[in-house]
Amino acid sequence: MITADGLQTAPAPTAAPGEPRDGAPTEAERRAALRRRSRRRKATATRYGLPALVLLALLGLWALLSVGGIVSDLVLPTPFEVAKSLVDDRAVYWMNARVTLLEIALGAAIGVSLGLLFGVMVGLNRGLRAALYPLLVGSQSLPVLALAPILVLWLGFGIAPKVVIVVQIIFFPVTVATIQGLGAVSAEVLVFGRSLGASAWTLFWKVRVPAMMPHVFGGLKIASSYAAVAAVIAEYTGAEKGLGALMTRANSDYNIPVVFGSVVIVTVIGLGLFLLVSLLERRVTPWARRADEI
Amino acid sequence: MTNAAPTTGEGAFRSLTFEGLRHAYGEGEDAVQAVRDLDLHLEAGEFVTVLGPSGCGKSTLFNLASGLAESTPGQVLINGEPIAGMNPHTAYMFQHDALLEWRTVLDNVALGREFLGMSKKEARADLRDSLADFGLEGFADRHPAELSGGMRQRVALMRTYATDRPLLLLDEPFGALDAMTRVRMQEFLLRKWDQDHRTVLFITHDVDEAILLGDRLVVLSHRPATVREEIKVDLPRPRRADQLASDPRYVELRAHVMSLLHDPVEQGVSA
Ligand SMILES: Nc1ncnc2c1ncn2[C@@H]1O[C@H](COP(=O)(O)OP(=O)(O)OP(=O)(O)O)[C@@H](O)[C@H]1O
Ligand SMILES: [Mg+2]
Repeated sequence: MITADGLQTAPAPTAAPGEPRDGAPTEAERRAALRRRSRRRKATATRYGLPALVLLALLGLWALLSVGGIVSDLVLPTPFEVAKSLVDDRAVYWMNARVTLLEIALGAAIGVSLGLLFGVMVGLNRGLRAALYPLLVGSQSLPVLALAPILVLWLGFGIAPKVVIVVQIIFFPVTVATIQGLGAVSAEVLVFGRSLGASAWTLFWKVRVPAMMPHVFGGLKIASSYAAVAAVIAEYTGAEKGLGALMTRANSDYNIPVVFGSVVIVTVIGLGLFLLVSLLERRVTPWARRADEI
Repeated sequence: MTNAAPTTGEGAFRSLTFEGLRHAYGEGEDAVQAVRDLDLHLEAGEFVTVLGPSGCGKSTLFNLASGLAESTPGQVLINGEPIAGMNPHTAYMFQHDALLEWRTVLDNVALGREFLGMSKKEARADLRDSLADFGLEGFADRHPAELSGGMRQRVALMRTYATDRPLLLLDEPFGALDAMTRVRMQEFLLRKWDQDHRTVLFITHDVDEAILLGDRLVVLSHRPATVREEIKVDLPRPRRADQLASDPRYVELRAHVMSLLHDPVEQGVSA
């Protein structure tokens, strides 16, 4: 394809002009793509199939322990009792779950916004980073959940103290992920851009923001799995409504099936949040390779 | 776009001159002198390769050329006039292709033009048709992750070319490629350069690459970088790596450059 004068001759049938041999996808590349696809299909089966099996086994063990009378039904209800409670008391569950969901939604909205805002400010400013990053990390040793009773004292029995707790739980992983994401931007793209006169604003929107998104979603996933638990624990310390309040009440009434029913619902909420974030992640950052993908 | 001659007319780029360039990082006791008293002159259309020990200040030299870093004292002159601020003629390319993973090939190629302030549409206008010139036809809508190393570097090269800037600052562009791909890319770059003779400053660690590509070869000292020797590469073009290997003049040049790089006195100088 390359003649002695270094220019192309008429294109050979197998290679396009200007192409140093590895331009068009070869047969091998096509086959590799097919193999990848079938591997992905198998991976999907492993991804959902195996955990489902493990879950079934655990449920079986639970049924064995409780129905078999190995553990007293005063402390461990049977799966069927719990299921029955979930159906029969659905109005009560729903009334309380609504409150918890509201706390999570408000806390998430505020926590994610604050985390992004703070993360971007600290991530883009070396001085701020030096001053605030160590404090931020240090603040994580503050026992925020242990402070919940004080928050109740300050903010009352309503949803406010719970929202504050959820915000605090979400804020940290989102902030740290944002800062890390901003640090992961290729310095060379920035040099390329600056030398062409691109403004800091242009570089921020075209380069920094998309580059940080995969990291931000990593933080959001962590945050999403904590959010529901944080809301419920906050409710333990004093609330009229919410799944945490329902659990404390049921517990003191020895209504163990309701306690377990609430746990099931909190778990479902947590999983739902995680799934929601994962779906969003696929939407927003389809190019990113995810470490938690099998 | 790819065949367009560098801008013509009044403001056209005709020459680049480094006059006593100096640059240090940090201040006082901790200052690291990266470039010291560096002089060099390039005429438009020249292909000059820069060879120097690692960490000697090559990339710093490029930042001085582009205006991203400032020389104190010393000056960068364009067409004999000192530049203030950014150099409006330069475009970079790097070793790590620095492609944006979330952009398609076409969108990556358009990035430089977007940085220049063009609208998205304007930036892409003629690019799709030009992909073939860089061996990227049919790949417009693929993402970088789907490309081979050589293709990725061709995307990066095209992105730099597409800015239509006449002075290309190529900082070890093929440094991360395997030997075979590297030779192919070198020949590819030579063919591209042959079409419109942009002015090229090309940093490399590879002596063979420096001789194969350059009209002139600039050997830098250890840090702080200064020009140790300028060597005219008087080998006829077009050149091909496989044919050069047995050319006596090439062998001679190569031996000379190698001896410069291995000079024991010079090696002790780094401070
Ligand atoms: N931003 C910076 N701050 C402080 N020191 C720097 C900075 N950039 C470069 N240096 C130092 O200046 C010297 C020259 O760096 P430069 O990157 O120009 O070298 P180089 O020749 O391009 O190196 P390489 O061969 O690794 O690409 C090195 O010692 C480097 O550590
Ligand atoms: Mg360098």
